Amino acid sequence: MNQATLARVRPDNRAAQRNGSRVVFVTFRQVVLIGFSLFAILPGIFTIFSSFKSLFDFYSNPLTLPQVWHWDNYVAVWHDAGIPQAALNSFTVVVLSVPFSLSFACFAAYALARYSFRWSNVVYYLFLAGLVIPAQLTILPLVLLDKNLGLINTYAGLIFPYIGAHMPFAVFLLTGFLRTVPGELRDAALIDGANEFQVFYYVMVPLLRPALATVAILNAVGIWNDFFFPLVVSPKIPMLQVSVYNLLGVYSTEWGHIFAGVVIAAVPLVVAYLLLTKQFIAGLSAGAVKG
Amino acid sequence: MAQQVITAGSRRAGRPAEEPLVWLFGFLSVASFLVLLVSVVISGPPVTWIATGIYALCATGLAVTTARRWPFVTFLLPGLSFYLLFVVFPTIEAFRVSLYQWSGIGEPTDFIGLQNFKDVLTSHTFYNAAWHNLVLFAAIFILQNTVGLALAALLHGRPRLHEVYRAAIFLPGIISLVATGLIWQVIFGSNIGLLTPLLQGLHLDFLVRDWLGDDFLTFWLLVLVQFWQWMGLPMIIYLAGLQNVSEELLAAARIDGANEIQVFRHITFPLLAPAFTVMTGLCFIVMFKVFDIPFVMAGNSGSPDGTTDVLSLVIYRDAFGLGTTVQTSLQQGYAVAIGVVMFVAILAATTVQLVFLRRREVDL
Repeated sequence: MNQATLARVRPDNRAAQRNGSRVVFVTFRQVVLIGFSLFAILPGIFTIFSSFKSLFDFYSNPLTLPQVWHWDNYVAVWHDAGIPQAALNSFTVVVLSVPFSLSFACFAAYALARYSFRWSNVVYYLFLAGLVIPAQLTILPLVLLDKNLGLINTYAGLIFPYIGAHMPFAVFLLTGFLRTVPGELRDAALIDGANEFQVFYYVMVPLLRPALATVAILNAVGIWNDFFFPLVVSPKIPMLQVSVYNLLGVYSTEWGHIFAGVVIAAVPLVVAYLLLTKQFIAGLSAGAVKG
Repeated sequence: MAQQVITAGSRRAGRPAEEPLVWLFGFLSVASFLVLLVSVVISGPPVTWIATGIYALCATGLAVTTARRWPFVTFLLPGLSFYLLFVVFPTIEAFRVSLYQWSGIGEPTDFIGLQNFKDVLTSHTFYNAAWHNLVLFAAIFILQNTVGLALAALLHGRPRLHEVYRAAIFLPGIISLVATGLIWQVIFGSNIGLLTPLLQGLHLDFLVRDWLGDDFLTFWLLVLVQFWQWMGLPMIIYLAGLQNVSEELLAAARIDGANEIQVFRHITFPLLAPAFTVMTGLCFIVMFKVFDIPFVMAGNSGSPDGTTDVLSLVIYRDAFGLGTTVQTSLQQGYAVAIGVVMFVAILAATTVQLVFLRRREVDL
């Protein structure tokens, strides 16, 4: 739309030539984008095909479609390695962590973006410093902490640390987003008689929706995909990624089965991501660039 | 930007009657939090639960009493409590542990001062790993500012199906470490694999290598996989940056006779500065903390011959052993000391970067 307006602004004598090079450019653009999209998704396609193959098929025709579609790979994996229970565990932890980490981060970001108090910058940078902490630095003290709180092998032992660990990026993104919201909105609501919490709930939260979607997806992805922390902290309540990794022990080189497990573990996330992709990307871009 | 920050409490008259209560609960909250921290260091479940309960009560009291006068305290308390207890406190504990020689069992007692840091800073393994982190950062930094930026620029023109491309290119970013590792291990596998039969099928046998056992190549394949997972982020952030560049500004420059290169150099690129700052900072942080992809592609010893070793793998080895054999002398204190050095270095470098890059933004 804007391109068209601009084209009219430009001098017209080279228009024909520009039309020719425009076709070349458009084609080139499509080729490059298709190329990178394939680079991004081909390993996934390969995984899906492989998950339907028998062992022999996998070794002799690694590049092709399965000769016979072995749905029984999925059936076997579903029954053998405790996958349904592990999926339920992971789902529970995600569902119990994300709403808390999201709302706490949202409160904190609102406090940091909307009020200036003596320590506001200190608190903001304290949260941001959390982005820099290597997970390997805190994992040992964190395990001890969970142990002394009696939280080993409980959902809470995963959920509480996740709420803390997901604060930094969420606060960074949401604060950035909230700073773009005009302060007049808050003033107007206050003048109309709302209190601070009503302003937050009725004015800010609806405006924050894309950023909240982004943070919710990022947190859910992070928790669903986490491997090392559940491996150490909840050996008796296996989470999904741990169980999928354990398929290596169950099936050793039966890659069809192992990849079926990988696909089962990835499908819920990929579906959620594809459904919410627009909001996800909108929130990510707005919060990160303006922060 | 139209942005107005109001000092809390300035708008309406305070309620002095609440103030003593606020100070009381404030004091009680801080005190009970410190008690809680001490209890989780020296004691177990029943005591720590009571301490947690007391802190929760005091903090609730503080949140309720500050709600009118200082609402930001109420807003900050829940998130800050979790963050302080489950992130900041373990970090401080890590600093403490790094001063001990400690095998990881029981309380650390063998205080050795800065000896662990002396060992870290004189060890070849540390510098070897840090060098790989640096090269990885440099490579991804270059890729994200060329390929990532180019992808954003191409998508910015809103070509047909741009939403599909955008979603597809970001997709690897949400795939788990376990899945990524299994997939790429199989793709690059020497007797199974995808790449080897593919090259053989194309009669390019002379290109076939031992992908995951090559002193030089393995590291660069790792860079490739890291970029595979990373590329969606710079694309989206730069795309957002480009969408902030107003068309009027570009049109004005073109009318004034600037060519496309000049327009990019003098208008688009400077206006991308905020996106550039964020992406540089994130890239630096993530590439120095990187663990997943080296771990799943090349194992925890940075095989072959430490050519893919990175800092977090060194920490992992010293803290948890090699995984295959039972290690009798784990050096947790030493492992944590590496983490502390990493943390301080990343924090310092990121702060310098941000200050420097933000100043560049302000000047424009």
